[in-house]
Amino acid sequence: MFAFMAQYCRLLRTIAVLEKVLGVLLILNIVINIGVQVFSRYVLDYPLIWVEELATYSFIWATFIGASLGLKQARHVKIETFVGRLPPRYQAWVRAFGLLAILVLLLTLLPQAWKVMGVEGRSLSISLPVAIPRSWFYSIPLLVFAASMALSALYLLLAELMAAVGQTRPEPILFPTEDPPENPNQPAWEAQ
Amino acid sequence: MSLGLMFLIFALLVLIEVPIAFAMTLSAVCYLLLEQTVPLTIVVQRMAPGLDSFPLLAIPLFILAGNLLNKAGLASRIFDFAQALVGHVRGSLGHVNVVASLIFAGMSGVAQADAAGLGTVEIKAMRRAGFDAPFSAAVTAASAIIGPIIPPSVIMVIYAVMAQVSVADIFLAGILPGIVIGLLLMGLIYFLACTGRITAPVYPRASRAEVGSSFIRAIPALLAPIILVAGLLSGAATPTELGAITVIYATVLGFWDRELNWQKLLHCVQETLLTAGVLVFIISAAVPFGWVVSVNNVPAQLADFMLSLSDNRYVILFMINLLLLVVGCVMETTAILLIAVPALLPLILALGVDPVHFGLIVVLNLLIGATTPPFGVLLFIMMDIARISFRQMIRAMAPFYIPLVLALILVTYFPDFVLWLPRLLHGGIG
Repeated sequence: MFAFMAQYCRLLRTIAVLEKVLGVLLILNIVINIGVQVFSRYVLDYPLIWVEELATYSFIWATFIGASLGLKQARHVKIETFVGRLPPRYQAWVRAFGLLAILVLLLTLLPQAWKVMGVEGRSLSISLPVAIPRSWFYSIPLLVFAASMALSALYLLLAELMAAVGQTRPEPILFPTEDPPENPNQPAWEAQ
Repeated sequence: MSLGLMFLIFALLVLIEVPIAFAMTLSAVCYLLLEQTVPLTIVVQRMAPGLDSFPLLAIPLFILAGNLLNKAGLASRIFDFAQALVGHVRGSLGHVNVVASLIFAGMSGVAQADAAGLGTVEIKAMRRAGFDAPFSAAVTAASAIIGPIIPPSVIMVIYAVMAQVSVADIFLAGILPGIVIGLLLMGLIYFLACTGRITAPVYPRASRAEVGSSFIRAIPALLAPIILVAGLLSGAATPTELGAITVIYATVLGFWDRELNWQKLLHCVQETLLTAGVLVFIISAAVPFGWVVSVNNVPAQLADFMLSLSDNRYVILFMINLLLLVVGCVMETTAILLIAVPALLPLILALGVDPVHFGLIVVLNLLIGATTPPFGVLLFIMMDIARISFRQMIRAMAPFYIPLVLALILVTYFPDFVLWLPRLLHGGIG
């Protein structure tokens, strides 16, 4: 089991690298697009509308990628309640139940996203130089990252279950980002 | 019936520490499965298009700008400048802490960034000067609230998109209240220092030359808020565009000062991807939830109910404040914003309250909620940095609720003071 989980974890980390690369490029693309828009409007006095649309679509993709990475790094906002005070085994059971709920949700959304993709495929983007079906910015990113999140959720669920039955807990998918005092955001991996 | 069940499922999921975003979508999915009237595809159809909004783009941009400016080593310059300005006043570094937060607020959009980035510098300096750790942590937490009140502010962008008001208007509306909160906090620190409740070292007044040289060193930091406010007031650029301009400015500044390199830049962008992704995902996940609430006519019923209690807008605003403060103590900020704003907006409009004014009331309430036990995020960040216990933190924090609630009363009952700057932008009408 442990060897399988190690393999599984490696797969998820590879996906995480791909997501990070794509996500970083998209964020940079947003900055560049809006920068170009400012330049073209105020300096050239020739507003380019489509860069704005492209930036918005990059934003949608970046959001779902960020959310997927957020699940891998346990960065999603949750409210800490009584769970931390339970004995470790019970904690693992409660967490496993929560992860099961997430997994069920994602698996319910997947076929729905597939259906919506067909409908949205019929309408096109507004101002981009090349007309692209809407689904590429709405249901497809949702579909792709719901699938990726489901893979992560399954791993995390299995990890909690192993801990719940008293085995050694496999590693988290991604460790928290380094230099916490310089990191202005959420406290990261606090599961253990 | 199934609506009540939806809220119950949501509450149970939150209680077992399921992340807010998943809890919201999952409870909405349960509702749709129970009702069987609307196909489940509605969830997917609404999630991604809910993000197709140009104003929302300001969120990752301002988070990135804040990260970059944090890395650009500006915190210590701002702190030195603030010390030269107010270091000699009784309460010394307490005031410096507040003034530094005021300046920093003009560059950062999240309270957590203020608390963690500048907070580390502030607490270190206050500890070295002989302040006790809990007091230093409390001042930092209380002044961190100013961050999202003074523009840029991520939470205000979310409010503006939900309430369909202009982001520029609500940004401008926050400037004066933010300054007033700063002054009220300084008043409290002065009082505490004079009555001997805190022991603060006394520093000589900085000479003109010292003020001047620290000012010059702080210019790059001061320029970011100036660009932003000038851009907003002139109406020349949208907040989203100003976000991109600030990012570019911060990058150039960071490389110029050799504080930034490619590796750090990449790190900042990665952090932004995660922070913004997780935050904006909550917005998208809340859309189906909000849809269920609104098709059940909850906002209209709530408005009727509240209006049956009283039709005096001051009484109703008082009740809303109370409600938000209580809810703010136990729930996460973004989630309350996403549930409460659509539910309360019809009532607010019926009462004739300006939605921009209401935005400030909501945001301030929620931020105060972030500094109250048991779940205040800012408290936990400060406890972590200052290495103090929860009990120490709360005890030191207690007096600070007085100026904060005072500010809330001012913001609630003096709309002119909130709306003066946005009206200026619209040339007196508005």
